[in-house]
Amino acid sequence: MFNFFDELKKKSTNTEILSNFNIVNMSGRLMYVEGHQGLTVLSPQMIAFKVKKGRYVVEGEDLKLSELTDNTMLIQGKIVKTELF
Amino acid sequence: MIKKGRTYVKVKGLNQERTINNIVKKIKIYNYNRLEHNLCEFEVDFSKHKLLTKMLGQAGLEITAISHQGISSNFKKLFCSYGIIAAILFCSIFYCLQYAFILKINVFGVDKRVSKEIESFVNDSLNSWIKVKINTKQIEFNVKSNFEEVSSISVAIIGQSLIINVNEAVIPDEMKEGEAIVSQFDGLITDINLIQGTLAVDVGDIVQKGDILVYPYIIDAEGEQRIVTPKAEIFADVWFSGVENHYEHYFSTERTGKKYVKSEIYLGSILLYSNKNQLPFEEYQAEESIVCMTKNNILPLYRKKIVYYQTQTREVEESFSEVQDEIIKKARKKALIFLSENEIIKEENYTIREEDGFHQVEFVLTVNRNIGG
Repeated sequence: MFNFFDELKKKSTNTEILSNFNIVNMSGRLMYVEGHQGLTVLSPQMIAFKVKKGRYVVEGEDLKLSELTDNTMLIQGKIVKTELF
Repeated sequence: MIKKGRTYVKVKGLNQERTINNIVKKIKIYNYNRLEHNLCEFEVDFSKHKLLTKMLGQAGLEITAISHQGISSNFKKLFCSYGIIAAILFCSIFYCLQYAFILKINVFGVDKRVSKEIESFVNDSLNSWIKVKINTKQIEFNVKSNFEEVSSISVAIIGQSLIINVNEAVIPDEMKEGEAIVSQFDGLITDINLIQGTLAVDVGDIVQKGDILVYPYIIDAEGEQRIVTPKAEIFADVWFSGVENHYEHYFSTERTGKKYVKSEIYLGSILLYSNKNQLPFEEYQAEESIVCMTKNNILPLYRKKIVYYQTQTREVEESFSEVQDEIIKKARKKALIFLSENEIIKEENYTIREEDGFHQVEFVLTVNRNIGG
């Protein structure tokens, strides 16, 4: 079965780093996150969450979580900036 | 597409991120929206809403609003509200259906034994318990032709009962079987008027209570014994006696009128309270009564009331000759108790038995009465 992330990973040489977490940003309106390790900040302007060996911050407007599970999330809203610390 | 059941919640409280992280380990969250720094709203699967409520409660967050959407929640709502309507409908239909049936058979007008027999007979002969299929005329005919005791009968369906009204047939005494007539008293037979049966006694015989007077059969013209109900008037002199004793020297104990009341309260058999005072009397009579202090005996709380009456004993010396008439009257009164109302006394006499300082008067009344019952 076709797996979007697996297909992309085949094109990379550094497989160790690529196994941590996966994020897809679609047109700055929808962001899918796989492999998060817990939310730290939740607000319409900012959503922050822990990932392996760091934290990830999504800034924007009218941000909300369409779906949230133990290790995945779907963020909706106007995504302006993303940062990894 | 069938929409899956969702529960919408609005949660108020601080440090929500931590709680959400805990919740998300067990429950999938949809459409999370942070309204204020301490207020958020989101949705979860309807099936998980109880677990969510529990977890939020444990985390100390307040649920300010909760609502359910989707098939499963709607179904539950329907089941709760329409369940009652369905139950009422079901009961109504059941009532209408069962009203078409006969539930019991009541028989009136005859004794219990015959009544049971008729009830059982009708019960067995009924082909159907549906009202419209019951032929009351047929039941009337069947019962009348199968029971000799029945002279007339009417059968009707009232409500869900089959009412059978029966008039009992009067069977002539000659046709009834009976038991022997036995003497009700000790006595001397003076007159016999035999109506039916065979005599066992004769005028001038002395009989005791329980002796057979008339046998329940007759010997017919062909010399054969036929069972009948015995009937006869058998008159006999019957004696009734009353005895009164008199002592010329005796001790009489009388109450002086003074009394002392002692109360005790018990819980079951345990004494809770007692006014233990020294009895002011040396010679007394006591009367005791126990009253339950609670209604319906819920608590076994009893009050025991003992009333002590002071008494005085005096020595009495009374000559028999002084009170003889009074003693005889008392003895007669005791004998009169056994007589029926307006019964004629045929003869009356008394005997006095005398011993040392003691007299016994026995008063005997002789009456003539029917001893054959």
